[in-house]
Order: sequence, then structure tokens, then C-alpha cells
Amino acid sequence: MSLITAHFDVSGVSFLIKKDKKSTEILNFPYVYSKGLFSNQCDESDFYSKLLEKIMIDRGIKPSTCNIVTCGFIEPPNLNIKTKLSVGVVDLIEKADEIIPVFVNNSALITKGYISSKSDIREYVGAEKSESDFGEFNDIANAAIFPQLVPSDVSSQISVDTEVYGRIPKNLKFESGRKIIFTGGRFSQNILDKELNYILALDMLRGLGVFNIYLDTSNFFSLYRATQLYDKEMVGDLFEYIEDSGLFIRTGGACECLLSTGVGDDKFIEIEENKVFVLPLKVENPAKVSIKSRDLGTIDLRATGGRIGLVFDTRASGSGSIYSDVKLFNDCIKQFESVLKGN
Amino acid sequence: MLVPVVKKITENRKCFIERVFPVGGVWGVKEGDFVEPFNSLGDCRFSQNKLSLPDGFKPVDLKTPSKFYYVDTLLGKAKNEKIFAPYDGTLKEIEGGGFVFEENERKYVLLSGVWGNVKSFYENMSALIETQTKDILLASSTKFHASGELVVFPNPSDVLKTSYLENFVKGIKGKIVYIGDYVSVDVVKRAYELEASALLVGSAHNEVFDFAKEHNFPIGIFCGFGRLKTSEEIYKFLSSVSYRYVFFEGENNLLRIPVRVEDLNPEKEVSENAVFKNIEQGMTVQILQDPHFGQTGVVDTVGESSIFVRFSVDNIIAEVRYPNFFIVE
Repeated sequence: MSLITAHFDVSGVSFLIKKDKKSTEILNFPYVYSKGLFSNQCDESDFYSKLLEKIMIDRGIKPSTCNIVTCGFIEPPNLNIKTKLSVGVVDLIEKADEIIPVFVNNSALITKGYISSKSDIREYVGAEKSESDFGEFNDIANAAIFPQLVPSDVSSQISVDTEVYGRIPKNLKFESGRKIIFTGGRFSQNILDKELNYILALDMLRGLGVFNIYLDTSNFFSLYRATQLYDKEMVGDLFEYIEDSGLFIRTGGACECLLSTGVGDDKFIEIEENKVFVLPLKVENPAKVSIKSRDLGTIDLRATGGRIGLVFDTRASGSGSIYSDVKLFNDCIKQFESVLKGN
Repeated sequence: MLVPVVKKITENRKCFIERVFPVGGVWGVKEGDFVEPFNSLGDCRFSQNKLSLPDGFKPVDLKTPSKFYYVDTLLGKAKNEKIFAPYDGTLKEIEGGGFVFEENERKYVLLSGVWGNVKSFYENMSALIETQTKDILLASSTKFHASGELVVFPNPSDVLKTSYLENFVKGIKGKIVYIGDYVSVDVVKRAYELEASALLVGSAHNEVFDFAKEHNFPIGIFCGFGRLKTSEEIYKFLSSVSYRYVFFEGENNLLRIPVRVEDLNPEKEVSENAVFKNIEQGMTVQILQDPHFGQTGVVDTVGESSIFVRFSVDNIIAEVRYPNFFIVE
């Protein structure tokens, strides 16, 4: 029996396709139903049912031998195909114990205990509409017709991310030492400048400490959890298809770090306050890391790093967004870009 | 690269159009009758025009609650301005102060507007006609319903649009007007004042919709928000059905254009109705990425996460990232 789990977001649909127990395929389909585009051909149920049928036909899967599991934001749509299980993303997030999922898309931010929805666009663009604001208002209006749109330049993406930043609940705080997965439509979109993903993740962290950051670019968290609810044996390791980005360390002020990889090139780094410093690290044998700061005290840990490595954020708690500090933003872009190009 | 297919114009081989009397009327057709757009379905009588007189209006010689006036006779004055009767009618004082001038009841003929068969009647109020249409998809529309004769302007420049509206020989009252590639809020206001039934346009700024929603005015855009050109395919089709009676269904994002059965493609020649296709060289796509937002072009090369599109204008090629495009058929 084959299995397809589908996650329906506001800008795309992700699939976990298992033709048999051993094979796993992850597919991102970056379009969604829009009345202004498809209502003369089909309704929403029909659109997604046809999409699933197309995916099955292209892979030689017989619809009669395939189980369908759906999940989505905020609930999955009704389909004309019989499904085995349908579950909303909030349930999946609330039931996650060992990790903290942070789900972000163009409409909402959801994490354990919090749902923060879209703000008033007039508040976001500004109540007074000037000629130059038309572009921004039109972009927002076009996003309603073409919900899959991915900004084609950095400044448009920054506008979108600034709006996401505005949705972060004031009393949100993450516990140091936890694994945090950034997931949802915002991270599964094929954006031009991938470094903006890490800036957004860093800017969304709340509380001081050391955080294991994972970036989910295919909504695998939702797909995995929904599949697991249906049949635990169908899925393996959650982190197999999720990027381990590394450790993001928020110190709240200046800090010192001693990094020892055990191959004789120990590094001592001093980072002044109000900086973001990226230290590339990806090793097989865990390196020793000692961090010392006024607020955190001394923390000794072992780390293998990740796609990015170690990211130190010495900004004080309650300091503004990275997007509002052009110098810091440009510095972050350069550092993340350099690491991503180096990988 | 799996991409959805957008069909801007679709054929609807069987649909129902409801034609409604403004007030109860008398039917001139029966169930099963075949009708054509200019056939009368029946008629009714009602006052078809009403003029609300401005504050401070003082009637001339009105001694009873209402009085009949012939066209062009003096009704009264408002701030030294003389107001004459625009048609034969009755001047009435309304409760709470103020005056209205109502035109005399006139015969109103309800036309079929479509090629089809009368399916059923709802009392003396409405008739359901089974027909066939070609539907143009509206990217966005206000959620109102309107019907009327379609007037297609030849994409006039911004400065000429108001002049086109004001000087249209037959007047635009009750008409559904295609105004051009783009419309500003001032032109929409003027169309509303001139009592157009609905407005169609390639694109508009967001504030145009704010105005239309506020005034319950039907408006539909074909391409999107901003300043985008109406696609050649839509403009050519609209021009070919100019002056036809059409139906604006804002709730369904559709402009329904009645056609004869023989105007539809033969059923045998209708191609497979696929909603998704793998993108291939030579396909026509609509671009949703600056600086070509809204334009259509032909796929030249398919890359891993983008496509290269050739535009007919200047024959230039541009890279467009997945998913900022659709296949257009």
C-alpha cells in the first residue's frame, strides 16, 4: 500500500510520498488554489484532488492502493478523495514535545501556546497612503490573487519578513538548550536570497541562551508528524530531511568564546555587544565550546555545528529588529552569504 | 516542474441565466420556448427614474403633498438655481423633509439577453433560461451582480478615458464598460456618477476597489493590481462581442458572455482539460515577476528552478523563477 501525506499551506503544498515502506520522496508544489485564477475550471476541493491524482499518475501509483493523509494551515481543505486522516497544523505543533516548532507563513506565526495572525495592512504600510505606497498596497492585493508569489528582490522579501517580525508575541520566550525547528510556508518558498531565512530565524528567537536551530524547507515537520499519527512505522528520523543549521547563541551582551575542535587550532573569540557574529563550523567529532557572558555566565558544551555553524547574537534583550538596523542587516547578509557560498 | 494551467476564457456549454423583472410583470413566452437576445420575455410598468432634489430646494406652486409636472417645466429653486423637470413625473415631499421627483410609470420590456430555452418561471418575477456562454475570468472583482450592454473602449490613454465616458454617443447609463488597460479612481467615480452598470479594466490601484466596495459598484479587473496591460486575447475577444448583452457575476469572478451554440468549439475538438502540466519549451506563460509582471511570453528554456521566457516585444528573453509564472491556455 502506498502512502501520500500532503501539507496544505497558504502559498504551496508539500508532499511526503511513499510508494512503498522503503522509499521516501519529498515534493514541494509551490502553488495553491486561488479563486481569481482557477474558479472557472474547478473549485478548491477539485483542484487539490486533481493535483493528488496527477502526482499519483506521474509515479505509477494506483489511487485505489494509496492511503492519503492530509494536514494544513489552519486546517487542510476538504478533498473529493477519501482520506485516512486529516489534522490541523496547530494540533501537530501542540503535540510536539522534544522540539519546539515555529511555524511561519504569509498569514500567521504559530508555536507552542501561541497563534499570532496577520496584522492590519494599513498599520503595516502606514495609515496615510501616499503615491509611493501604491506599490506596496498593490503587492499586498496581488498576493491575494497570486498567493504563491515569491518576492523577486531583497527589499520586497525584507518587507514580508518585517511583517512576520511584527507578529512575534511580546511574551514569547524560548528555553535555552532546546531544539527549535523553523518551518511553514515562509521557509519552504523558493526565495532568491537564502541568507534571509537565517536572519529571520535569528530575529525571531526570544530569550537568552543556546539554541539548536533546524530549518525545515519542505514542511517535513508537519508531514512527518501527520504520517506518524497515522502509522508510526512509516516514518524514520524527523531530522533526516530537515537542515541542521547549527547553534544560535543569544548572550544579551558582549561575550567570549573558546572553540576547541581537537586538531590543534583552538580559537578564542571576543564579540562586542550589539553584534551578530557567524562562525562556520561543521565537524564530525563534537568540538568543545566555552561561552562566557555577563548574563549567561559560563556555558561549556559540545557541538558539531551545522550548515551555518555557530551564530552569536550579542544584542541586548528587547533591542529592535535586525531589519531596522541597516548596518547590522548588511553585516548579517554578508556573513551568512559567505558561509552558504563556502558550503 | 509541475505548473497549474490558467484558462482566462472558458466555454460553458450548459448554464442557467436568470432574468428578473424590477417589479411584477406579465410573461410573453412559455416554458420550452427558444429565445434570442433581443426577444422580449415579457413586460412590466414602473417608474424608471428618480431625482432626489438637493437640500434647501423650494418647490414652485406645490400646495398638495405631490403634483404632476410636464418635462422642462420649472420644479423650483435651490440656492437661486432653477431646477426643471427632466421628464414627465410627479414631485413628492418625503417624510422627514426633502423632495423627490419620480418619472411617470413607463413600460419596461425584459429582453432575453441570451440564446437559449426558457426553463422555468418564478411567479411573475423571474425566468430561468438554459443557455451557453463564454466566460472571462476576473482576477479580482467586487462581489456584486450586474448585467447590461457591453461597451468596449479601444484602450484610450488616461487623459481621454473620462472624455470617452462622457461623450459616448448612447450614454453609458446601464452599460457594462470595458474602460482600458488601467483605470484611476477619478474615472471610476465619473463612471459611477454616470450610472454605468459595471466597469471592466485590465488593472487598477487598490484604492479603486475601496471606492467600488464603498459604493456597491461592480468592478472587475482581468490581470491584477497596479498598472498592467489587458492581455491581447481578452481584449480581442471583448472587441468581438462589443454591444452584446453580458452578465457580470462578481461573486464568481466571472464575466459571462452569451453565445450561439455554433460559436462554441465542436465538442469533439475540445482538448483535454488538464489543470496541471509539466512546463515545456514553447508553452505560453504569464509572468508574475518584475519588471514583466502581468505579461505573457513563450518558454524558451526550462532550468532547474527557473525558466527563460521570450517576449514578442523586442524579442527579449528573461529568467523567471519558479513559481512566479503560470501556463496560460
